[in-house]
Amino acid sequence: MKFGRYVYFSAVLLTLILALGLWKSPAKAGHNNKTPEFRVDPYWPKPLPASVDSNGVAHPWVQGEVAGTCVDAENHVFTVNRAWEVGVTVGGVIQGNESGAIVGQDASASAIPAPVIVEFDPEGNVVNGFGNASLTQTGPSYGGSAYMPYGSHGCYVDYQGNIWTAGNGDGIVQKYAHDGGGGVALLQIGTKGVCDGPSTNTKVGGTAVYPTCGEANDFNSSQTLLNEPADVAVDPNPDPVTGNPGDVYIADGYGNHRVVVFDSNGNYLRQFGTKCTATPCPGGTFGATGGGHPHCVVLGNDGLVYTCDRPNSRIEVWDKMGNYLSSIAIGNAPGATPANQAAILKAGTRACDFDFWPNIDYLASQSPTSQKFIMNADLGNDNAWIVDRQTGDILGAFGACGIAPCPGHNVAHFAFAHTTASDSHGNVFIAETITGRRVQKFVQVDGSDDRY
Amino acid sequence: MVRRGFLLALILVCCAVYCLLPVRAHDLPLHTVVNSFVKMEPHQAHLVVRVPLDLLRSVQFPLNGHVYDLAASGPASDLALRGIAQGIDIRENGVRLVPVSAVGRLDLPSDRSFEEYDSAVAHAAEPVDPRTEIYFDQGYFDAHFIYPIASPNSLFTIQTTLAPDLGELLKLTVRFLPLEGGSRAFLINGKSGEVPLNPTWFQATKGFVVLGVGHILSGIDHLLFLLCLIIPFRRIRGLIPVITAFTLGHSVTLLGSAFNLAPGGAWFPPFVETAIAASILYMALENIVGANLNRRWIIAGLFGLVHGFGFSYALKDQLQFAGSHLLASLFSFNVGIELGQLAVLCVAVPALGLLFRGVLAGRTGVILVSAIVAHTAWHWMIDRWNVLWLAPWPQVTAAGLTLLARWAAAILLAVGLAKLFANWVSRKWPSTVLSGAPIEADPGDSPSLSSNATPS
Repeated sequence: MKFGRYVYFSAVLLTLILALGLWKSPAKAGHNNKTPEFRVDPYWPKPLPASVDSNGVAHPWVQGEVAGTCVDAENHVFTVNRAWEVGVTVGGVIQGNESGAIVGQDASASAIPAPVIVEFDPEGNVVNGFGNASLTQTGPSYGGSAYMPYGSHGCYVDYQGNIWTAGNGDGIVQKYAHDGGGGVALLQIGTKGVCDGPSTNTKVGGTAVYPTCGEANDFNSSQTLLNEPADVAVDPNPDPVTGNPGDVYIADGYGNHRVVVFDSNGNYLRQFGTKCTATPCPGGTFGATGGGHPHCVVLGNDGLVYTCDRPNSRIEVWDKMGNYLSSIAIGNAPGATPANQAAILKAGTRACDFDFWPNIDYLASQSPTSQKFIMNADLGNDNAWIVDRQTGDILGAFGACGIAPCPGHNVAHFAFAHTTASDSHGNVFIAETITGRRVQKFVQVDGSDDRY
Repeated sequence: MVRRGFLLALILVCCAVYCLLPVRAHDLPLHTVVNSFVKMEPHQAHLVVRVPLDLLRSVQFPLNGHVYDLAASGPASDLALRGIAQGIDIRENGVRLVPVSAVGRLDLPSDRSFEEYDSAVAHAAEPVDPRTEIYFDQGYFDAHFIYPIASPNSLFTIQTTLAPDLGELLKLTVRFLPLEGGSRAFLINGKSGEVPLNPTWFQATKGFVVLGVGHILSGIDHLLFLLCLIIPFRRIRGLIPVITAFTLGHSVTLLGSAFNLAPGGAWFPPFVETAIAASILYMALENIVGANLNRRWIIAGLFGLVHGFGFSYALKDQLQFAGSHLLASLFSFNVGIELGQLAVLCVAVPALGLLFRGVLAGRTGVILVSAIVAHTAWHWMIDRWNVLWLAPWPQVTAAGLTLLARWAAAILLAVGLAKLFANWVSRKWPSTVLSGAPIEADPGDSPSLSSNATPS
């Protein structure tokens, strides 16, 4: 009994010393230096709508390639979907003549393409969708909606709540009201089906739908036409020259090799960036071929413009007047094993898209946070990285494989991770194209203060 | 009889008519959160509120194409102000306050001025830049109301009836800034009714006592645990240390949780639920095999720690309404739980006494009832374990070990203090239960119920 009492009081004393000694835990003191960790929310989004017809057959929505994702002021998530890239109907089944459309088992008699733009609330319920998937262009049955960009690509919610999307198979960028406005664009920059290129061009990875669109011969100069634009960002701040807010920055990057800036009414202001013709590519140029040159444009809260030079796996930084400032190379992973590091660097297209984090304001250009991290979609490695904004080092990964290539269709794996978006709660949404065809939500694990 | 039949028929007809009425389809707005600040000053109260425009569809703001005609939006803004003033009801001592000043304006969805009270007030008073383009239904209407008050020490309540057809879907976040400084935040909805902004001590404690009573009476797993605790006992006297130990145990963890000392991982709530089910199963099995009732108070105390975490989940959402009486509200919630427990005991003990007669007298009744409870608890435990298994398990970190060490120290201290107290009581009053004196058993009970019973 005496020995038991001795043991008991020793345990109490030891526990007290431990508790008091570690009262200020190291994690709390230095949490601002910690790399955030994320886990996937496998229940987001909720199952897509499946309306039941008069015969009792359910028609579930299928998104097809998800070519863009963005968030709004209420943390609603938008996806840009390509299941509608329909061509002809065969045997009552809509056939996709573009790879983004519903195909194979999805293209059963009962599945239907989701609208081009789908809006989810924070819980993952579909609350809106627009873009009539059944509209087809009159004339040659190339497929594609009569009024939305062909190859809808990229997604952006501006400071007025409007939705923007580009089209990397077309020559237009469009702005829609937040609820779609009945499918009528508020503004269109460029001309549908006409690109800034010669009369016979070559499209990246496919047959040219519109003859002037393609990367083989880009003019990179038009003040009214685009050439397969990839992404859009809108600046709520006054333009450095005109003083007016609402400038539209377009990553005119599958055909052309530039960022082109228009005012809020669609009038040309300026452009910057040229095609790389040297090896290695100097700063201020975009990779010559491979599409996505640039592939993204993001406005930071430091007043600078960030672009994804996908062929060179780097993010280039410019000022708003187009002066090139620096590059952030994506691929160095101090935490990876040598084999994984070699594999990461071997894959190209590492800088596909990104968003800053934390991003308390849905507009990266206005967020009052440090934006210390870049959440980067690495399409080449089928993963998404947490990258240090200053050094470009890969500090962590979203995929279940850690800092390594992570191909697959299971939860927290990726098949062609393509775009990312951060919301004001620290969640990150990563959308997949080509064979992935979904959007996944990643939630911060420890819930630590994201106001870094 | 005829009259009753006529009334019944009338009711049925009314129901049928109501059901046949065409259901009005609502075009639900997507944005249903209204943000507000309420600030108290010596002679006036300020309400600053941001309402999403798609909650104000009844107000027709003039349009210029797709954007609002800001120059011509004056009359519509006035209408919106009247509607918002009507829809947010602030009362002083039960009397509705009427604003003496109201200003408002349209705003972009990207505006951030509602992060802080001062910027919200300043921004609401600023005229909109006429060059701003605010698209139809995209954006907010910001308003600032000033109410004269009799005294900042009066009792103030707030209630929202904005968009009444949305009911609970309409959320109003309130950040209350009292005169003495600091701020409190809470979230109410269209069905919350009048919510006190600065509840008195009495209001807060009364509300939480009621909450505590309601929680224990509606918590079937806690009730089953209590039942298992008391099944072997025939006298209230024997129950006192057991119930007291259970009370102390759950009070410790309930208070700890309220002060955010509980582990925060996603694994913890399912762990608590599983442990609660396991505790019920343990007690039931102990009853079946023959419990050492002299030591039951220790087990009750330890399991009380687990149940306290379970109680805290009901408390957390409601603590926002405690006003400045956090500790009193916590204590009152605990008191409510104890009152509920007492009520349960007052009913259960005589009921068990009645039940355990005849063929169910003695051990037979204890075993049978415990077996039924054990069966239920077993299924709960398996179901909850399946949920726990899927939850991400905690990783060993320094912060986690610290938390574990704190809890271990607290539990060891509590157990040690309890043992010291028991020893002191047994020295003072050798014949009490805590001294290890045999529990009084009903005639007919097997001698094995009490380890200290003298064999006949």
